Amino acid sequence: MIEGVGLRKIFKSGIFSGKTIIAVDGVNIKIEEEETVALVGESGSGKSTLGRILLMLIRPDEGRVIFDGIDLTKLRGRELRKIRMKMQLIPQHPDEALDPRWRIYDSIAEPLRIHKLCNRSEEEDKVLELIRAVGLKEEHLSRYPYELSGGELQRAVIARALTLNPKFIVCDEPTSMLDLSTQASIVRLLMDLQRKLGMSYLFITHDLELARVVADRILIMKDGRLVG
Amino acid sequence: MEFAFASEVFRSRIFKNNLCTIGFGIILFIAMLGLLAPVIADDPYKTNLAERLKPPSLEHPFGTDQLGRDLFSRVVHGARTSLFVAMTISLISMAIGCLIGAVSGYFGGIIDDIIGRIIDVFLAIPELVFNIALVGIFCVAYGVSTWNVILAVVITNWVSYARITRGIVLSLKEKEFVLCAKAIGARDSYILLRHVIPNAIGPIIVLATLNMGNVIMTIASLGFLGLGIQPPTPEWGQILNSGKNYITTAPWITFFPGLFIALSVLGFNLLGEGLRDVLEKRTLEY
Repeated sequence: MIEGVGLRKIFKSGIFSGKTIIAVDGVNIKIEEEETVALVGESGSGKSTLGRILLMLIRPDEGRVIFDGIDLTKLRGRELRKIRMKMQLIPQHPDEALDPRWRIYDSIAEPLRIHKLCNRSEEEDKVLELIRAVGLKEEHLSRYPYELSGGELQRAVIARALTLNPKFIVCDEPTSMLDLSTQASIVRLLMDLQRKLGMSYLFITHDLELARVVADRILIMKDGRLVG
Repeated sequence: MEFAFASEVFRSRIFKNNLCTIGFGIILFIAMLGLLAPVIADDPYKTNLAERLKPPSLEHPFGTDQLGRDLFSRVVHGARTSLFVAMTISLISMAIGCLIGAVSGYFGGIIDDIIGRIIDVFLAIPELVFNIALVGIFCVAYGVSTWNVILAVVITNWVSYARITRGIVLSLKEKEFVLCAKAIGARDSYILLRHVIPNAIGPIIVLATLNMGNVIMTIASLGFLGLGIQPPTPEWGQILNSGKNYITTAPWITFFPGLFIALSVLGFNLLGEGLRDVLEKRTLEY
């Protein structure tokens, strides 16, 4: 369903220092429908960059990203923004993933508003349905992010990611900032949602045990290359 | 509708903070004196040599200066000059600084490197010395005018806004909520307007408030050195200077303008500190 071919990304920093970092170095990756692929590696191995390249949040220097038969690296502006409805990101820091000045309700409804998908009352129904699906209560909706715990926030972030019914989600260490019991419940939630909604996950983590539990397939990344 | 509600909550939070309330009160007091100056005070230019160097009395609440002018009128009219000039300087340098800083932070790369070096150069020169030099140059080039002071202080002052805005935009650009907004298909302009700017505005308001105190001090310093706003226009620093020869015989000439400089700087600093406390709970820390 989503495929990366010969992906390569080099970061350059500053004109005076002239340092370059090869973050992703010729990676081929393919994820099938309803499959969970775990991407495991040390910090700095380029796994987050690879996840973001697949979502086209970072443009690769070389290689192609093919989603449902469409080469995303050839798309620009409006077409790319349309495709983005089908793929989502669940980032690592739940406390930074929502605008601190927005209420939870507005953050979850934002994707619907950006793409002008429904009117106000449909929007409210959809948001309520979503928070029930992720196990939040209605009272959470009127709060600001700083008034929620890490686990509740991550649930809100997941709800927001699900708003547009995506087919592919990159989970970038979604549990690494949470404590152990919360971690388990978030992982269980992600697995349940996958069974119900049939999405594909790229599950980025540095925890091999966790990867074994969640994934159908495990990829190991080291120094920008896939090694196994 | 939600916006109106939020702003109401916000307003009450600001006035629940004691620092804010006291600071705002002091500024409001001085600003009202300045605004009402023509009503409550006499002509600040009218000399009366028979009444020179009189101590404070009912007729002259702050006494009179070496030319017999009513010091209360001069100090109160000085509030107009100081606040107006300081506000002009702050607004211009905020506009320039924020724009340059945001461009630098948002685009990064070579633009950021160049602007960053320019900022470093400006920061390396002591501010007051730089101001004195600039005012001198402008006086020679364009003749004596209040705009010399404004221009000189803006040139040294925009840097702090640029530096702060650059830092804020740089850190906001990397925040995950900006990334997530991009991931759901938002346009760059939407992200800038709805996510980046609203989150940057809090710290910039705090900086602008604290900066006002700084600018008032700079104007007064230049005035004291005889480089600022020129007599007979009443200005606190310059009144202070004219009174320094009489400091043992007529201390009120230096005391009252000094008190007003101190009060207004204190007011802006208290308000700034208070706003920081209030705003940082809502926005991110940088």
